[in-house]
Amino acid sequence: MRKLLFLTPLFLIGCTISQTIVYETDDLQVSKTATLIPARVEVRIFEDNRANIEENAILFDNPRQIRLNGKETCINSEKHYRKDTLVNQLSKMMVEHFNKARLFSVSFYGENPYSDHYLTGTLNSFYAQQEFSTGAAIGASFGLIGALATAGIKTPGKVIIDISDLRLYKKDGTLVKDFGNIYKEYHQEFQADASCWCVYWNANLMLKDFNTYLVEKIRADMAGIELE
Amino acid sequence: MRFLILAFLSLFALASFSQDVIILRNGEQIDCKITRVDSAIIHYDFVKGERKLSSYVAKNDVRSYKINPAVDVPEDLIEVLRVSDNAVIIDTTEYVKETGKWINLLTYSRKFGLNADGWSLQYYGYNLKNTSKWIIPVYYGIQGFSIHTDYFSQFNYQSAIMNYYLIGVSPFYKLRDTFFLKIGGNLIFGGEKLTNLYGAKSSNTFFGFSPSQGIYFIPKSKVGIIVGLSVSEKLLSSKVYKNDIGISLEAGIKF
Repeated sequence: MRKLLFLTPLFLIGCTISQTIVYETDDLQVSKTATLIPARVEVRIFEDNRANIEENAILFDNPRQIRLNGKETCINSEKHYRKDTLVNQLSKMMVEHFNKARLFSVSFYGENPYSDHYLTGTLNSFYAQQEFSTGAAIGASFGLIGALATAGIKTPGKVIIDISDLRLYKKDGTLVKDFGNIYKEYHQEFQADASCWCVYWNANLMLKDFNTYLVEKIRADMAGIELE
Repeated sequence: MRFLILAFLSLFALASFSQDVIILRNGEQIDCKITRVDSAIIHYDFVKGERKLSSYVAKNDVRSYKINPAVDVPEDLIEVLRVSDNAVIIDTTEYVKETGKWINLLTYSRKFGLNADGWSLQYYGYNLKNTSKWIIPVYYGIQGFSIHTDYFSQFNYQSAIMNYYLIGVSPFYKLRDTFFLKIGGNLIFGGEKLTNLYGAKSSNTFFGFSPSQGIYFIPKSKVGIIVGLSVSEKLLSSKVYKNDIGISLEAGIKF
């Protein structure tokens, strides 16, 4: 019974029309040997370049369930993201992740008078697609029991996260480090549902992995760089 | 002409040594420049279109990777490299971490046989490992059955009470993430109290063998509904129930 009650909020979240970029950060582990970068960094809202990348076009013009290459497919259509822009949410999530992972002394979302550095970047892709699950759809038609029985269904999909020109500057505009262009394609079986909401959650989970990598990359690239 | 062919081959050799290679477990090959390898991740750069990008892959997903010498190999060394194949190949199979979780199944089944119908209630408990396709569960169960009257009547007894024990294994074989094949075999030993048509009572010890084969849907979720369909056979030394074949429909919960 306890488990059933626990499942209820998940269903409610799954039915939410506005999707947000959010994931659990309490489980992020900070390595004991990890060094904290002594900088108070404001993460400025990333530039949104997704509309200029061809593969992203379907996200802007379509609903979350479309027929793609002859198959019913779920995509993280832009239509269902909350009103504040996707890059705002992504930058905000990045700040939360950085702070939990103790990457910098402190990270701020957007401009902040207490910062001494700032981080900029361009979002080129935050793209997710996966095959629509007929099994999950059939399960859903049998109500809660059917949904439970098909809760483990996964379908193949891909998530692409592409951030370019990730740079750390001193507050006076001096470039400290150019971290370059970071790109990751995830091809795997993703959790599926009958309503194509899972595709948004899967994108968020992959962003968590991506940001975890980003933390380690920034830490490694900043090793040996003296910050005044 | 010979010079041109040699020059072409040299260029080909140079190109082939200019990239590192990562082979993923799914067979996909990534041509790239490996920049760093740490305990869990391989970091690499690659070119997509006109963009130079940095990416990474978890060692769990990698079958092997190969770091080749730098691009700027002097031309006179190309042949040496080609012959000695100075690359490093590291098998990363060791990075596959074995994980296991305890699964509980509680099921009820109805059996429909040629000579008897029955029911059973059972518990299966097993450790689901990501590295093995075979599962050998712990099993507890109780069952009851009624022998068909038309079959029983041929043995000239008016009643029979049978008690028996089963011992054996019923392993599951993972076909897909949620579909399992169950292949079981049980030895049967027990006793029966018989009353013949004249009211005389007797007892008998019997032995037998009962194989079964079935297919089960077990969801991957922590909690879920499981269903199974199986065929079972029985061969017994009983005086009133000598053999049977039937199907079982099984349903229950996973928790």
